[in-house]
Amino acid sequence: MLKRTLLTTALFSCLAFASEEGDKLDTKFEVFHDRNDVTALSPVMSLTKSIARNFSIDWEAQLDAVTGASRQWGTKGSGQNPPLDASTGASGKATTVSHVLDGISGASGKGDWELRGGTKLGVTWTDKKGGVLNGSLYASKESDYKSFSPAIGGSWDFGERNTTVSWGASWFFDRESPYGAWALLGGGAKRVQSYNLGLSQTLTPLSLAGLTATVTRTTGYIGHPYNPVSTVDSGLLAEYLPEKKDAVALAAQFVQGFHLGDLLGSVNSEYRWYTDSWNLRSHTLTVRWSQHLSDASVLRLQARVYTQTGAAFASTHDLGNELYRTADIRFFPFNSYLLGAKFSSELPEAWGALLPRRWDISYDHLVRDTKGNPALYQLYAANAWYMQGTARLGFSWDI
Amino acid sequence: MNRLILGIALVGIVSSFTGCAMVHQKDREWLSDPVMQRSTDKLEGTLDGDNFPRREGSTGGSSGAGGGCGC
Repeated sequence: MLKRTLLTTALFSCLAFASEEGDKLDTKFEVFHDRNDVTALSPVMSLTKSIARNFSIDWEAQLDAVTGASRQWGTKGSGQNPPLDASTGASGKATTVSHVLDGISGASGKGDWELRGGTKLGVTWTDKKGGVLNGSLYASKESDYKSFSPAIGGSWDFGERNTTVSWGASWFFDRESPYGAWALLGGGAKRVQSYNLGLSQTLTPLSLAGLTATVTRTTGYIGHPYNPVSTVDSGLLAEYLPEKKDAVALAAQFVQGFHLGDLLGSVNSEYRWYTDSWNLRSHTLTVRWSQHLSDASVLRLQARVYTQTGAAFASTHDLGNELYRTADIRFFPFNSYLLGAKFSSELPEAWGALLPRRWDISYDHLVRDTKGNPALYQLYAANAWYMQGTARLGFSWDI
Repeated sequence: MNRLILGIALVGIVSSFTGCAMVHQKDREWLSDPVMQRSTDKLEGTLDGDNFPRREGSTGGSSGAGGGCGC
């Protein structure tokens, strides 16, 4: 119902107002695949449209179709009934709880697709003097999970627009409703409140820097029941997590531009540090080199290194004296490495309004050292050259 | 103690930013080019913000706050 309301409102707004500079429609289609035969197809679109003086609306919609690794349908090729997924490890609609989980997503031996959808509608007010305020509503639905989130934010430019201070706040009202017999082990409401503060500063005509701080508090039913822990006698114990998690993340970014001949390029470096009350800490370093190949085309190469420690109670086996326990591989220590390339280009304006003005294509290749219980999860083979690949194709229209 | 040091460092960094020399409007042509933007394109941010939290134990802190992920 909410989704229909958001959709109707966005379409009405699109039709009712004249076109302005900055109005555009962006689309992207993502294909994710991993070596466990998990495939996810994700079309996503965004519409930005001026609706009145200083006001614009943003409407975003996303659909995910996942197969080969679905919480709903289980893990492909596991030979179990029901087979379970490794990224999440979930059983199908069966009433028994037998196991083999996929570490990254979970898979269907039946070739079924699990669908997830989300949409966001936002309003932005822009002041010509450099102030921006926005508010949005977000809703998503998966087969065992619902989320609803209002969010507000804003920014203020000052110092001849060389300095920008930004802020944001969002609140999530989520509910997990596990499948079948899993509902006996867990499920319930989850609340997330997140606040962020950012600062951006231009330093020279070819360099700028930024800082972002985010604090997040999560309460309620935080995990899900699909990650049981093995006992010493080969039994299974349901995951049991604290009902509160506080997290802090700080990010620092530096962008340095340069010229290769007459063509502008830049190196964008970002470092992010994260810590939470479950003793999980992570470091993320992302470096992107973007280079104009012509006035209308850009090549971007990126590298991302991620490392995290494990949560205090992440464990494959329960010894019997732990208060909290989870076998969710996302909470184990691991490292991941991503390399990616993206090409984007403008298309001739003479092609007309019905054809896109811009397009882009990209591919990201990721390897990671998954850790966990191989009897329960489909883990990636060590040193495999192919683990996860993500390809995207995007088109953008001026409307 | 660590938090105090971190706080002082942040205040120092912020103060040093706001004291920087101004880049005048006429000199901002390069800064407005897409390759000089801090964030990736909007939908790329949406997809990354959806994907990484599904596979990693930490969320939030860069392009947007995490939450609402059913994984």
